[in-house]
Amino acid sequence: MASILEYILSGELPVDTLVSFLKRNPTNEIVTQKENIPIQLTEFNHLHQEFIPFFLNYLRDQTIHLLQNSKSTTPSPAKTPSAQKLKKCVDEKKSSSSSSKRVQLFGASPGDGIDDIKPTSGSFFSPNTSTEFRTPTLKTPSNQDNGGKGDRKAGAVCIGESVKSQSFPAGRNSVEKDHKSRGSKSNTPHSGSKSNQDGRSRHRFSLGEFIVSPEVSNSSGKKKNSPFSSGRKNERCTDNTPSPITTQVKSGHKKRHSVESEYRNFIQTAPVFSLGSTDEFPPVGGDGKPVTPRMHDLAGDKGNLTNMILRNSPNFDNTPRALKSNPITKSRRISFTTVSAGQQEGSTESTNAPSRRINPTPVSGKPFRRQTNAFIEQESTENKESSPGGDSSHLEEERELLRREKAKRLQSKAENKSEGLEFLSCNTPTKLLDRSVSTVDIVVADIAEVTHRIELDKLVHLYSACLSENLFPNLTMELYFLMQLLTSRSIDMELIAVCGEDVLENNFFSTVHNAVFFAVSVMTQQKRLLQCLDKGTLRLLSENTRITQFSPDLNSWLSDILDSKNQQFGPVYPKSPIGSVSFQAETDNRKNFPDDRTFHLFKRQRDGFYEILRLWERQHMTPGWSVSEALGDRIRALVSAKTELSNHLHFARLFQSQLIAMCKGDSSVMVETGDENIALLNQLKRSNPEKFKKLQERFFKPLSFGGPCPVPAFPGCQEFFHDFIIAASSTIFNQHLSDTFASKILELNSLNFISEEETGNEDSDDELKEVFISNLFTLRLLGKFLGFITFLPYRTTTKLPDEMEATYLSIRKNHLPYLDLVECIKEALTLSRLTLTVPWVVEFLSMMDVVAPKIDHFQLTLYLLLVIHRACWRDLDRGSYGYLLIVTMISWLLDISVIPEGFFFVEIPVHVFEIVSSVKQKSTTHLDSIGFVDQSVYYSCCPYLLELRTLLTEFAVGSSSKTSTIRKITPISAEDTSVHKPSDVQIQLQLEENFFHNHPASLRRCVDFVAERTASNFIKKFRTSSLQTLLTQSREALNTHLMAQAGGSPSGKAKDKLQHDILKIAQDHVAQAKAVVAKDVGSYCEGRIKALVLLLLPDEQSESVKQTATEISTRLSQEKVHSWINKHITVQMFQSELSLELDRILKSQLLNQTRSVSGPAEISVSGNPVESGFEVIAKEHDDSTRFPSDVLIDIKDMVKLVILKNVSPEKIAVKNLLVETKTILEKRQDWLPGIFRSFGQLILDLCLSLMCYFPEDWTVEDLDEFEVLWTGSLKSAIPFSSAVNSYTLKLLEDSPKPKFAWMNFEELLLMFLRLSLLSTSDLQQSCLNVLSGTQDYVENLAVCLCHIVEKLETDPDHCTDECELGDVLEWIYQVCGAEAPVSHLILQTLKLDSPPGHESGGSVTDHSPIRLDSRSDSSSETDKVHGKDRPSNSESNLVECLHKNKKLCSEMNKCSNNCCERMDGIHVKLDGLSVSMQDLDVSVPK
Amino acid sequence: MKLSVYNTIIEIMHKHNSRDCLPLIVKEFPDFSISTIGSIYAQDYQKKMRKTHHIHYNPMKMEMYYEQYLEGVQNKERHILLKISNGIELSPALLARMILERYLSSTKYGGENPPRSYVTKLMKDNTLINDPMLASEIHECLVSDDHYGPHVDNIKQSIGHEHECKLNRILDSLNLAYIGEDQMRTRGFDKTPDVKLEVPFSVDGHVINWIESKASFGDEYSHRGYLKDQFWSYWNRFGPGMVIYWFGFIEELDTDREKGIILSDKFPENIVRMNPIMK
Repeated sequence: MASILEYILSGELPVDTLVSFLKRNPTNEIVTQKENIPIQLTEFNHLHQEFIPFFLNYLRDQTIHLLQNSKSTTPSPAKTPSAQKLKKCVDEKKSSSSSSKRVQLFGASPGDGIDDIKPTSGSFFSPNTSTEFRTPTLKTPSNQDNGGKGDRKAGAVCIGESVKSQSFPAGRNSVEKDHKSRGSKSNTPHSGSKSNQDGRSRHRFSLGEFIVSPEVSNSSGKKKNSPFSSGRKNERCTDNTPSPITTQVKSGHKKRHSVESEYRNFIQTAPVFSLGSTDEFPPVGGDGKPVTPRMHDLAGDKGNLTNMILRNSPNFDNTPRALKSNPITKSRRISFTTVSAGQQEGSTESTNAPSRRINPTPVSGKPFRRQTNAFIEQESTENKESSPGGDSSHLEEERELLRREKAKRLQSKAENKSEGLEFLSCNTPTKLLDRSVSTVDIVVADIAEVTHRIELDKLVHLYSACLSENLFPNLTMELYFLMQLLTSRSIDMELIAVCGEDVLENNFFSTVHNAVFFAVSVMTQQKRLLQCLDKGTLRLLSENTRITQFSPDLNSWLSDILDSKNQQFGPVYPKSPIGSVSFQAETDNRKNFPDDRTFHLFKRQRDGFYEILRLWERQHMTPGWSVSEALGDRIRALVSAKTELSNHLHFARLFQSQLIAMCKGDSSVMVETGDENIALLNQLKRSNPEKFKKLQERFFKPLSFGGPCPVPAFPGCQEFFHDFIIAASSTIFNQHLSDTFASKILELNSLNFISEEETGNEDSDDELKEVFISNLFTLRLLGKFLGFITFLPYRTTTKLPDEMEATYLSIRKNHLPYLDLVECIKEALTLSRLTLTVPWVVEFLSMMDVVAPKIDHFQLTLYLLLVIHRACWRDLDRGSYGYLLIVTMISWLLDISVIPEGFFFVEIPVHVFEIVSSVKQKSTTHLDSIGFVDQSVYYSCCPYLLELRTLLTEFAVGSSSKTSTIRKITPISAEDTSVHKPSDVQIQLQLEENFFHNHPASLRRCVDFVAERTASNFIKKFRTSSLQTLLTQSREALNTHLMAQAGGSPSGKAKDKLQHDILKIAQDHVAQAKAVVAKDVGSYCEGRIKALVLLLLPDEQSESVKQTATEISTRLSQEKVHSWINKHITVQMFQSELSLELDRILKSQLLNQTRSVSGPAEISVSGNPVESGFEVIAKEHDDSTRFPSDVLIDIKDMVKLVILKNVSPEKIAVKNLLVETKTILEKRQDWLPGIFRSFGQLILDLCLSLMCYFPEDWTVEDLDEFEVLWTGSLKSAIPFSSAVNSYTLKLLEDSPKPKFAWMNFEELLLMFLRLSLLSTSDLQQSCLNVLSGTQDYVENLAVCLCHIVEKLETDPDHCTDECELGDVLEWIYQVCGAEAPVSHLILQTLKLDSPPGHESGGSVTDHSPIRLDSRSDSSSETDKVHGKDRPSNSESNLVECLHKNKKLCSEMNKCSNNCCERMDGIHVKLDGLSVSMQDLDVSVPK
Repeated sequence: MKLSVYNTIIEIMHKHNSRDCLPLIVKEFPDFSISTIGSIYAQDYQKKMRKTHHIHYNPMKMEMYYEQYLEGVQNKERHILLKISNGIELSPALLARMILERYLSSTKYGGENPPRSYVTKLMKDNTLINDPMLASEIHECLVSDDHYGPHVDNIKQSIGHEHECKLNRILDSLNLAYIGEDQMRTRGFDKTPDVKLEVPFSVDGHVINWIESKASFGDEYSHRGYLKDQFWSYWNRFGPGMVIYWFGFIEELDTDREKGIILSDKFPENIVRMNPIMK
């Protein structure tokens, strides 16, 4: 390959010829057009596959010394591809496995420190160098290098050469391995994670042996790293072919170790090392032309050095492992390994390996390092003259070094303490470091100093032509490379030192001037590409002094472009105020779940999910915090606990919606304007550039996307969802997610953006574009996540054995992916919607596991993408950013590590082309050419393009920031933009079809829309009104039915029987419902639709069209309504509602039963009006009044005051409260039943306590205000009937003036009775209740009651015959005994001449069971009352009465004997006693 | 209210250990109403009850209290339960309920625990208690307790309701359409704020979709609980919204504004309505 380049450079082969040759499609054209092939190219059958990689590597190698300083040294572009095909790798598994054995053999070779490293290292294919030997006449750099190498081996040139020729294959191998080790090792600090690459490297390795292709990269590798690589090479040779030079080799090898430690040294201190310092690349090995004293020392004192190194070498210091396990070198050669390394380490790992702090190698490193530093000082002074960049004084530098050393030690201490700290310190370089960085560097590139113009021009031409023809695998990489060259700062002094003038002569890129010249020249020819860059980047370019100097034309062109270009503000998804997925009654309410349990479970799931999300938001930036550790259990519980299918479905949907809402716009981090619009800053920039620079430095944090070709990752909020899935580790959940994602992808992917009708309508175009962009982003997101879940089970951190892999591959072969990617791509080709489909396919594939690319389906997909990659380039000019996006994305995909290296150069099987060519494009829609993809979308999808800007900014700022900032991306959520898709309407009539066919599509949309909305509105209305009524009716029907049956108390057993009745009721009501709908729907729809259609259709539409449209729409809406009714208003629905109602009834009845059983005191006080019928009285609300709660608190406090403090409140205060109560009852609407009841209770309490505690102050006459309330608005709240209760009676007894208190009480009760607030039967009932509990106050109560009876009888206003207190009095009489003083009074009151037990005395047992009958004999009056009253009693009262009376009866029996005996005596004394009755209450013993 | 002020107020309350200090505090901090201070006191009191709950609610202790009560009855003391409750620093109403349970258990249920609902019923209606002594003791407790008991429950409920009504009236007067809890429930919503706006408005640049009225002081404990059980749930469903703590809140708790839950102690005056024409 190198020879070709030679031809080009020498002009023997025109660049254009080569390019056009390279451009050809290898499969069909090469054969046919062989005759046209230039003579120089005939030898190469796989030119197109081999030259490009060679060329790229060549460029990288030539320039590597210039790129060291840039922030990301490693992401130097170009994956050096294998000329071998992927397939071959697979096919030749056997050989590869055998080779891997061999590798292990090497590893076992004794005394070889590096052997342990090499075999495990990853590799990439390096183009071969055999051309060197075939065309030895050409003076290629590699040849030069070879010479140098030979020299270095202490004059053993011949040996070196002989070795080389002797063991050519092995030698090549070894070099290859060297590359591998240098290439990937440097970026994979975790030795354990190398397997991935390792696997591939082995294949390649073996292939390298079979295919004799010249090793070019080797030579170029040597060029830079010459001393080491050559040393290694020799070493390898000796390993395989023992030769007499072993010792020599050994020393060389040891030297290599020293180099390695040097490298470590470099890596560790990477951020501070100045470019000019040779510290980075100390010359090792004897060099024929020592330039510096150091070199000289090394050469002369080899023994010393060797000894020293040996001391520090792994074999010597007994810590070999520490060294070996460390990353060995940082590859100075181009490698693509950033990607692979990061990929293996996992997405969260920093991808900027170079800036990673590598754990210090304890013992060996430090002493040596110091030594080296000492050398450097010397050297740097020596080099001063030759280094254009070395401008700092050497004393200063020395101090700097000391300081650095100190800082380093401190840091390493900190590192030992905690990983997290290390991370932090890495992210925030100390000021010290910054300063040192900014003081060094900036080489002034001068066009006058450019050498080798002719060759450079040719290279520029070739490079630019390749770029134009898209022959390079990764466009981004190349742009990045150009920027790197443009911003290169210094040259590698060591290289010059080592190779002397020759290097300068033969490396066309030896100086910054040349590199910048190259870059600027290429850019000048690639204006088309530059134009695609964002404004920020362009501005930086236009401000770049080098461009100004090298090409004023380009500069002015840039300025023009810049002026003409409007800053595009990308798809801004502003932080939506709604961070959550909204609850939609239609899809989320109870009806969408099979039962209550799942419904409530999902309620908890939703809340749990968001709680986890919030925790994550709060915590995830905390170092050491991990989702699976902190939230794993909760997540698993959420996803799997007792979940039903419906929960999974809902949850997966919620998950997806939230994912889209939060992450869709996540990638649009970009285009934070490069504009420095802020006036202040601009001013500062002009007035005080130094200050401005400092400020900028301080604030400048480069956007880091992990280099120009970053590992697929889950940035920002995606991390949450990623971690959630991992932590959940639920196959069920994943399955549902996959289903949901896949269906969503298909839905969005097939959405039609271009309506046939609209043309040139700006507004709708914008809208469509918005929808497109939103869909594009959503698709990418979902594609990535679907890919993630799809390949999740196959992820592995360890390499499968090769044999296993074959088996495994055959097992997986039958596995079909969720989505047929091939079909999707084909369809996209057909419909010209690649811009929509390719991005998500790429995202999907970027998640592949290592084996997946070898599976037929994915392999085919990759081929297709490759074809598209080429095809799209051809169309690039046509379609704005769309094709560029596709090309960039595919390049990226092919460049990430899961894809076999060199896939780009693979020969595409013919059938793939056939697939593509067989696709017939439909001419109707051309999404790809519409140009929805603009720059901002492009940048959003490929944010790594901003790395270019980072480079330029770094250059502008003058600092080489080595921090790998993990940018915190604030979650941006957007509304779910899933477009509401009008449901498909079945149009059965041909006529109708034709009708619509001949009118604008908008008519149909209008009709459909109106129909749908109208139907929906009708349904809503029906649901809230008619349906509710019907449901209520059905419940009532059930109630009535139950009442009718079994006296209103159906047992649990009857439930089964009831089901049949329920069914009937349900059927009835469904029929009713349908009837209602049938009646209403016609008029409802007709009226509305007519008006709507008239409004919505264009005015010029003819009447008949409008009429027809209206009719169709009406019919459609009715159809919809009916279908809804049939689906939802079902017998089952009513049945389930009724069953619930039945359960409720039964439950309440059961409760009542248990309550009535639970205790005798549990007799429900008849009629609790508050529970049932509370209504707010106030018609209007008056806010100026006090809150009910406030007033009640006052009342309560007043009661408290009376009862506990025994303080008599002012009458006016009481009055005011009562008046206020009345007012608020009438004027406030915010009443609740509970507080209403409390008002009743407390006001009664207040009244009673006042009358008891201060009986003289508070008599019935003082109760006017109370009375107003009792008879008025508070009536239903007051439990008048419970006025007689045990604690009130106690209160009366405890009163300071019991007599007065009792009298008051008596009056109060009378008042109640007179006002009909209380009936005598209720009074009697409550008296009996009290007396059944306690008989302490029986006498006073009896007297009280007697008086009441008397007074009622004499009261003309009160109908006496309603008095029902006889029972209780009789009862008291019985209890107290006939001789008790009160008994007489009772007899008198009851107007009984003879004792009531007189007749019944002997015959009590003979009385019929119902005492009412027996008593009717003794008391005609009460009998009458009962006779009258009984029918009016409710049934339950009757039952209770019977119950009560039975009890009384038995008690009476007990004491009847006593009574009879004493009856006569009592009779005689009665008169006398009645005289002193007034004193009774006093004299009755307590 | 700043947290520091809140802490000072709490300190004063602890020093006095009675509601009598409320007017004093209002005098000292005239910025705050008696309702605010009262609400803080009540919350603090409840906090104390929660903390000491476990001390009282073990069978041994409960039996001991009951025996103390019986002893008092024997000695014909007055205000027995109030005295006990004072001594053990337990809310009188809670003690009353406990004693009632013991009483019912020993008199009617043969040592078994009486049904809760039955006990509640007797607590609500003391007239159903047969024992006049116990009935009047319990009645006393309930009347004198400012923090627990059926009356207090009703008052609390009413205060909440009153302020919801107040909120509704404000919304009505501003002509802001909304749906209330009941409507939402009939529509099948699983979580229902007091008010869900039909058309959102904004306050200080924060969009409000729902409003929850809280007729209490927003202290840390209650706010955290509400956030977990209610506010975030609303946010999860309806997006950002507003909580009105009518009796004020600790300012430091208003940390979720950006995330979408803003706190206020009144209905904000500077609301921005949606205006579809201006876009």
